[in-house]
Amino acid sequence: MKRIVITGMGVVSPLGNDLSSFWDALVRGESGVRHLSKLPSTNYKGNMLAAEVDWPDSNVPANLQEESNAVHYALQAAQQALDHAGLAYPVAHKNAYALIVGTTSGNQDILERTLDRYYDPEAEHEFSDEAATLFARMRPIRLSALVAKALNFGGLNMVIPTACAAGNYAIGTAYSMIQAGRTSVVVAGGADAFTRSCYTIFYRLGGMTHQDCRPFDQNRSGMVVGEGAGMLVLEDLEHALARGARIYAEVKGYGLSCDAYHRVAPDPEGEGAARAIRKALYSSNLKPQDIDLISAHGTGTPANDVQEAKALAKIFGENLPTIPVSGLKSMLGHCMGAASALEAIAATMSLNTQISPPTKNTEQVDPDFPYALDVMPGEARQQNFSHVLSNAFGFGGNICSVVLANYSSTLQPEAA
Amino acid sequence: MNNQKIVVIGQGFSAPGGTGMEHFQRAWLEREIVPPSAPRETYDPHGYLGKVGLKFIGKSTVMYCNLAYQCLESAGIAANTYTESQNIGLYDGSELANLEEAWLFDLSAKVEGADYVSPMKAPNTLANASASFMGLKSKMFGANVSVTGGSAGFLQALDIATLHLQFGLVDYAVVAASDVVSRYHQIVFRGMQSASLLDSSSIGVGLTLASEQMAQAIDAQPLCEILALVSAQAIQQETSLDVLDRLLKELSVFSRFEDVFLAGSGIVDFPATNASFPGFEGYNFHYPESQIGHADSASGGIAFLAAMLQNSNLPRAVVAIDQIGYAVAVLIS
Repeated sequence: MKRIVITGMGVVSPLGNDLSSFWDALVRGESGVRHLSKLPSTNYKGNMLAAEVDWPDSNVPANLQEESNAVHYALQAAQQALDHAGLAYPVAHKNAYALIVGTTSGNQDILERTLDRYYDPEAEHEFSDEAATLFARMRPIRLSALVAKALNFGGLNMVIPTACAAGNYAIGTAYSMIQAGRTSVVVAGGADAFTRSCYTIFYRLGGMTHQDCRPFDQNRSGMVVGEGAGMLVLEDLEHALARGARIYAEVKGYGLSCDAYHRVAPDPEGEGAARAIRKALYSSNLKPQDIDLISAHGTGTPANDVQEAKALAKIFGENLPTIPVSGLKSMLGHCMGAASALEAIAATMSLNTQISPPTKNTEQVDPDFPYALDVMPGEARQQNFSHVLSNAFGFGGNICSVVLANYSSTLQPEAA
Repeated sequence: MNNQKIVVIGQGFSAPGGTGMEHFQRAWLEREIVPPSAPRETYDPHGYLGKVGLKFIGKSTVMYCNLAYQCLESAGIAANTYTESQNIGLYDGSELANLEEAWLFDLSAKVEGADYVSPMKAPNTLANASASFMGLKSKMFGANVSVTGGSAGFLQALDIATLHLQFGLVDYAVVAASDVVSRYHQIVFRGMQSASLLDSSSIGVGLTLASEQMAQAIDAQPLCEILALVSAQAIQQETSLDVLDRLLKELSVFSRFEDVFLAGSGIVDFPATNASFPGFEGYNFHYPESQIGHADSASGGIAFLAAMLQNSNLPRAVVAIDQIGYAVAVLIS
């Protein structure tokens, strides 16, 4: 078995568009949730919130102006991750470097741009060539292929649109691709730009809070739609060591499952989530007691949080209250396909700094959960973290859990 | 990672002229021609999905489920085996399966207002709708993966499925792609300036994969073996033909082969069934889409089925290239 390590990270998020801004804000317990500004709030009833990325036009590469904002975010995060890893780009030589982007909405904003610019209700069936050219830019493959082309990556690239679990899917797939010897370097993560459709979906499903996101709180009332991108450089350990790269964490394994319960609601007993966690631990050759930090999916909706609490209880049993659980969506909002990638980056930083960000807004953990959760309310926690479980659950029942480990701590037992 | 051979044990096909492998054989081997716009009453003629609740399901999802059930049936995987199984994965390589639903949903939100869109339609707007609905319908708890790789989408889904089988994440994998072409697809194809894609049919293809050991466990007859799988993105000044050349050279490391089955929007303007290109002497190129009809994400599946039917002692290569310069190649025997 190869060992797969993380050697670089890049961030575009509601808490800042670089790794240090993002991490510092998380540790300080700052919130990226604001009033909705990217859509007319009058179209929605209530106190409409959003976790939006501050993205000036100057951030957009000139040759990609007409592409999706998701492409812009993914490229920026990938470039940051490569810089952080000390890998030059565009890659100057023939290479098999790979890129995998998880997403919920892909380039949906292009569809909406086409509608906003060219839709004429009097001539619904007429689309100019100009409109068609713009519309063709919404093909999902462009999200990975354009970034790969910009970086001159010659290996595989793919878009994994498994909704809100997509970032973890990308990390898991990258792990398997390197294990299989297909490539030594994969830039993997997630990207989603703010769209009218995504916001409207959660609005119509009644999933959004009008107060604040309070993961696992007894008074939790919903999630906040966000956007962003998180990209990680996953690398074959031998490749990383050979070039003297700094190693931030190790990817130990992952588990996939399908809820197969309902099109828009999770299994209320958390069976699907428990299956994925169990598989992730098995794949990582770890036991539940090895996990000392849980990065929860924790959307702050009544349905998600209770099923996740039940799933965690099935795996960790009475030890669950002793394991810190972070709910980063309280600060980041739910950044869709980017969410679990951003959470994986935060988990990697926790393993490096031995600090976990707090869960903001949560005051009283729901007493109806099987066990009380230690959600680290209010303040960041300094503690020895060796293994982090990161959960991600998507619309349609797509589930992926990933286990990350402190690189040095995993080296010691093998050396012994 | 185990070193098990990965084999194909089931298949499914759906096109305007008919559904099932018998129809594919008529279309490919007997050259039966069906207009791409031939009307279709249903995308589930077998009735696998029943009739209740289908009005909230997208057409591509219906076709995907039909293909998946065809695949399970032809592999001999019975309902009592797949129901509540964690060991069967579902893989969807469709590119624009949700396009029509996404357009109509957003149009409604824009024109009529957010309060007037149907929340029941929301899942159809996402690209994971098909495989996740099949998981729900069949109660399959295993890996459930969607990818969007353009014309290389089917083979990309096959790539991930093969990987999962090699690592033992699943015992069986159902891979399908099912784009139902709407007028919104036609606008995209026009924007891509792809004359051939404008002629696209709503074609779907499915395969069931297993490790050789798991195939034996259910007495399934292997239809072919997957020997190698590689993929690439065009870099710098590379053309689609350069990528093709790169991938064929990579596959030739595994075995000698002569027949190459090409697919996808990256090469759709190539002339005919048995195309030839300067610099590629020594290969016999086949382009099944010129006979079966053009498809976007399912095109790699069409080429795969055609390659499986080829009588040859040598392995065959299947290559799908998207217009954007991304390609996946598979070597089968």
